[in-house]
Amino acid sequence: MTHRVLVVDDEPDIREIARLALERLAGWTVLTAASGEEALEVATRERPEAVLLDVMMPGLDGPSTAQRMAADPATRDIPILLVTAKVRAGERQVLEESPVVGVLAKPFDPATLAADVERALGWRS
Amino acid sequence: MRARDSQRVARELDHLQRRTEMVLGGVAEGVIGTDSTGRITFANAASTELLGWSAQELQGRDAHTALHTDGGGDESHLARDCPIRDTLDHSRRHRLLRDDFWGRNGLPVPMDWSTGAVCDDREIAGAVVVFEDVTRRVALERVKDDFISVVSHELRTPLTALRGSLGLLQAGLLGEDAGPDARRLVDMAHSNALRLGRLVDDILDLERAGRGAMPTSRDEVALPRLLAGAAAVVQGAASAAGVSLQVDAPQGTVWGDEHRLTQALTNLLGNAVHFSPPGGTVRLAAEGDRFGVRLTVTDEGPGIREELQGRVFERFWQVDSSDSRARGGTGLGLAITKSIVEAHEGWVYLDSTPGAGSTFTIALPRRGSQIPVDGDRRASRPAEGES
Repeated sequence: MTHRVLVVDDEPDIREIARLALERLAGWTVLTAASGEEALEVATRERPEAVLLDVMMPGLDGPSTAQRMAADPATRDIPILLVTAKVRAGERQVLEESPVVGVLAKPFDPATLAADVERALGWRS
Repeated sequence: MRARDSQRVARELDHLQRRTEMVLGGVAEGVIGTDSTGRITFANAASTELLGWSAQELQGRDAHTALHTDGGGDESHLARDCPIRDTLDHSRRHRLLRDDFWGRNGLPVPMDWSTGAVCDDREIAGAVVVFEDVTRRVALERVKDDFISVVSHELRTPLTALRGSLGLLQAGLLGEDAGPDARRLVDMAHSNALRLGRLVDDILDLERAGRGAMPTSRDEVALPRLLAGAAAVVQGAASAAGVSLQVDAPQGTVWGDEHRLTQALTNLLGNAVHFSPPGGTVRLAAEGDRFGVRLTVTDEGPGIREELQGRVFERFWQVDSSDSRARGGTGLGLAITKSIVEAHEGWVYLDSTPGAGSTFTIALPRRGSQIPVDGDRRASRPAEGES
C-alpha cells in the first residue's frame, strides 16, 4: 500500500533518511518541510495523508504546529504523528494535550519506519 | 586539705574545658552541642563563621529551629522528623549529605552533616552536630551535570543521522552488487553506532537521575506483563548465547513506572545472560511480601567475589572490562537500575557466591508504604539519612 506523507524536521540529514526509508524501502511518496511554518504551507497546499512532525524545532515547534493545523479547516483532518526522543517529565503533558494521533520514538529505525508509521496511524493492525 | 583538693579539681576541670574548647575551635567543621532537650549549649568558631550567628546568639536556642529553618516557614526537616530529635530520643547516629542549613542571612547553605548522642552514664545528655559547607562541591557537580547534559544532547543529533544512514544501507540500500566485505563493514559500523547511542542514552539517564529528574510515573503494573515484557527484550540475546530464560510471575501488581521498571529488569537480565555459560538458565521471578514486591534475577554464572560485590552498582565499573567491552556493555546498566529503583523508594541488592551464580533482588514498596533497612545485604542504597 503506497502513501503520500509529509516529513517535518529541521535537521536536513534526518529528513533525508526518513525520505529514503519511506520512498526507497516502502515505495511511498514523501514531501518534506524544514520548519513548522513551512509544514503549514506544504500541508495546506499538498494535503498529504499524514504528517510526521519533529517535536524540537526552532521557531514553531512540533506541538505548536499541530495546534495550528488542528485549528485550520484546510488541515484539521490530516492525522499527525509527533516524532520525539525520550519523553522528558515536563514534555509529557504538552504531548498529551497535543491534537495528534500518536508519538513515534526518535531515533527511528529506517528499516521499520514505514511499518511503524502505519501501525501508529492505524493503517494496519 | 579538702579545700585545696577541691580547688585543684576545679582548676583541672576548667583547664580541661578550655582545652576541649580550644580543640573544637581549631576544627574546620562546624561543631554544635546541645543539651538533652535540644537547646544549644556550645558552638565552635567554625560553626559561627559558617552560620553568621555569634556563639552567644546561638546559645540556648533550639538547635533544629536555629539550623533547619529560615524563620519564615521554610525548613529542611519537620521538627518531629529532625535527625537531631531522633538522636536525642533514641541516641541514633545520622549522616546526611547536601542538606540545607540556614544561617543569619536567611539563605539556605548545602551541608554534609552528622548528629550523634552524648551519653552520660547511659543517659542521653545531648547531641553533637558536626557540619561542613559543601556549596563549592554542589556547584561543581552542577557544572559537571550541565556539561554532560549539553554534550550528550549535542551528540544525539549526529548519532541519529549516523544510525539512520547505516540502517538504510543495512536494510538494502547498499545494492545487490556490494561485496561481503562491504556488508560486513556496514554491519560493524551500524552495530557500533547503536552502541554509541546506547551509551549516550545511558549517560543522559544517569545525569537525569543525579538531578532527581528521572521521569517516573506511578501505576499498578501487572507482574506477569512486566516480567514477560522485560524477558522479551533480552530473549534474542539469550537465544544467541544458548541461555534459557525462565519466567515465574505470580498474579498481582507492583506500584511503579512500567517503562522504567522494565529498563531496570532488562539491565539485570542482560547482565545475567551475558555472564551465563551456554546451556545455563536465567530465572526471573517475583514474590510479594508484607512490604511490597521482590523481583529477582538469578543466573548460573561465575558469581562475584565478596570484595567486589559492593562495587557492582558504581558507574562504569565492570567485573572484567575487556570481556564486557567486547560484548558491548556500557558499564552503566547496574548504576541505572539502582537509580530507577531508588526513584521508586526501593532497594536493589546482590547475593552472590563465586562459582555458584548471582541473584539480584529489587525490592519495591507497595503503594504508600516503606521498606525497612535490610541489615547486612549488599544494598545499593546510599548511607545518607540512615542511622
